Amino acid sequence: MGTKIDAVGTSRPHLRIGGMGAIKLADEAAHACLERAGRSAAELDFLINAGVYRDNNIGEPAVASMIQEDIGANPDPPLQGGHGTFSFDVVNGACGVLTGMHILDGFLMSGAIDLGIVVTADADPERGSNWDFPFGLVGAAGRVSRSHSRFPFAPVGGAVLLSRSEDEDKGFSRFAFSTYSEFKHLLEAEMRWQKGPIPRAVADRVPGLEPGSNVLRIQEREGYAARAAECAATSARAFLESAGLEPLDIDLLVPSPTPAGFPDAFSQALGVPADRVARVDESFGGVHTAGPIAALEGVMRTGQFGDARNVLFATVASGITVGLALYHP
Amino acid sequence: MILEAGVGALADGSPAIPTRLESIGSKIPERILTTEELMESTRHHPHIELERLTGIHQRHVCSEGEDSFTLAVGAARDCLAHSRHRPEDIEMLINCSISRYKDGLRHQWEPPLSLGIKDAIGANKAISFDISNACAGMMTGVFILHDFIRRGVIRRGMAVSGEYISSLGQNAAKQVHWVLSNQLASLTLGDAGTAAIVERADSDTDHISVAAFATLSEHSRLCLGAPSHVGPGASMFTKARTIHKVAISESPPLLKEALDAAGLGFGDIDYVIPHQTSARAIERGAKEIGERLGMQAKRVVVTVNEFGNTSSTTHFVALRKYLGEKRFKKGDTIMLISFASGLEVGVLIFPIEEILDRYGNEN
Repeated sequence: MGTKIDAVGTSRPHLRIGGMGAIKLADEAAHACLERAGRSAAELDFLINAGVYRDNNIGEPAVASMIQEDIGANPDPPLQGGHGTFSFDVVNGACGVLTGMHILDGFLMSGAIDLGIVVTADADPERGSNWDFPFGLVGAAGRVSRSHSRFPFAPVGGAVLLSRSEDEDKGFSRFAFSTYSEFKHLLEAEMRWQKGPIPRAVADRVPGLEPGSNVLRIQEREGYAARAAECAATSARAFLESAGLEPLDIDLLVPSPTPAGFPDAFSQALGVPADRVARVDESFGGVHTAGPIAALEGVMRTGQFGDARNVLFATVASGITVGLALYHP
Repeated sequence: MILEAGVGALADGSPAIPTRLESIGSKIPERILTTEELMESTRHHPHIELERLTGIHQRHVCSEGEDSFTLAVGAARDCLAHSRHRPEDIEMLINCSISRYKDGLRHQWEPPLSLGIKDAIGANKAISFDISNACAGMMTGVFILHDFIRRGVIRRGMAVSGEYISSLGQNAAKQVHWVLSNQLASLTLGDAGTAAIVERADSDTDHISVAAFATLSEHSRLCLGAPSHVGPGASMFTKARTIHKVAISESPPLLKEALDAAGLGFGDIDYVIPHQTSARAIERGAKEIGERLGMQAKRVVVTVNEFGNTSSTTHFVALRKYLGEKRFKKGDTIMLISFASGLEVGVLIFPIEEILDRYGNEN
């Protein structure tokens, strides 16, 4: 008995003017995933959002609860006999989707739930417009919460639907996470107050405010991809050894597509042939937390995923954090 | 609700391993800000009797050099000081705070704050990640740890949170005009850090009876916290009365489900610890819930008068205070109830037994 992947879905902006916020992207990815699996949102017991960069950098509520409402996953109190849906956010950089799947695997294996979904999306926080909050000042709050320069990640949403397999040889067999904090400076994202002029719309309405705004800064430093590959290879060797496998036993490698160059550097360092690496279609651009889902979608479409015996998920994130999972389709 | 009992079978039929709260820690900033002082700092001097309305006399707030990170680390150290376990024994560390301020009001999105916390306390072998679930964060973290331990994947883990949220009060003080302001709830906030170690239980009675959650997301947009446009830190906009109303009206069947799973009635609970928003709201809400459930809990814990609403940490601030003050006795049954933005409804029911010994309680 293991946790199996029923379907995945991705989404990208289709609004040319203004773009799309992360919440809307996550909503659409979840819809696509559920439709592909032939399941309804009402069947979901658990929803985890793993996106980092969200509409206007919302801290509360959990973005997952808004996605749950948007897609209609038991937004109202459960009726007698039903148990509703539980949702919250995981924040673990580009390893967040794998962390979400690790948590869902647990609740599936415990028997507490039958169906769960991990959704994610990152988009320039300034783009978020899917609010529907009943607060007048919120729009202004969002507009002056700025990104310091071009947002570095492509706006992409992803969703992966998980359930329990009755076949004990199928599904996830193990997860592992490790961190290398000596390299934590190589990818950092922060938001802090930066002094500057107050937008007139705000100054007119609320005089005497502190001049400035909260600004998001994301900085990837030189050498991140190479270090990430080294750390991931070190962790993966130990992981495979503990599973009694050699790198060549891996039929399919699903790596984080970013940082740029990571999939090739990692697969070479580990010794997995390049033709066994799941790659993300270039049209996606530099996808962040949805990366493994975008990679998975491609190999599910070609049949490479279904034909594999041993699939290794390998994600890397700021920290440096390495997430690994072994899956048997 | 999504519910896991303390004992029973897993999906494959094997028995679940019972879990328990082994240690609880907190870090409360020394500086005190009274409600009177806070209201005097408001820009528009609204005539709001906040202390009378909420019962909040004061809250503790960060001073220079304190933030979400230092509060979380301080709470984790306090938790370890009362634990049998060493930092390197912690196998999973979950940071559960909404605010992730480090080095002052610098909100850290990446790397996750949990990475720095585990480095600071020396939990070098722990899997670490952050979660975010509004004021239900710590209880959600405990729920996740409970699940991992009961399946035998890990033996023990720590949920930790540091909430540096007094900036929301400072920003609200610039804008609140009247009592129905949607930023009024921001004036009730205080800063605090908490941590809890969850471990395998080796007792037939001393274990978590039930952990359960449901998200009533039709109310997800009743509260919003985001970076502020009026000053450093964040602002929060809340329809507080509506949240309270729907939480009290819609939660009783969920609470009953959790109590039934524990084989208990509301009247069997020795201490109910609800999320701490306002003393009046807690007392009124507990009474209404008791009426709906047909019996009243023996005691309802109120600490908001002293600490304010400390967000994800409130339940564990109260637990730590009561443990330190030796107010529990062995065998007491505790029920934590979470009402958080989302709308998250969470329940954790457990007995107080061995944990008392590590807080100098000989009763």
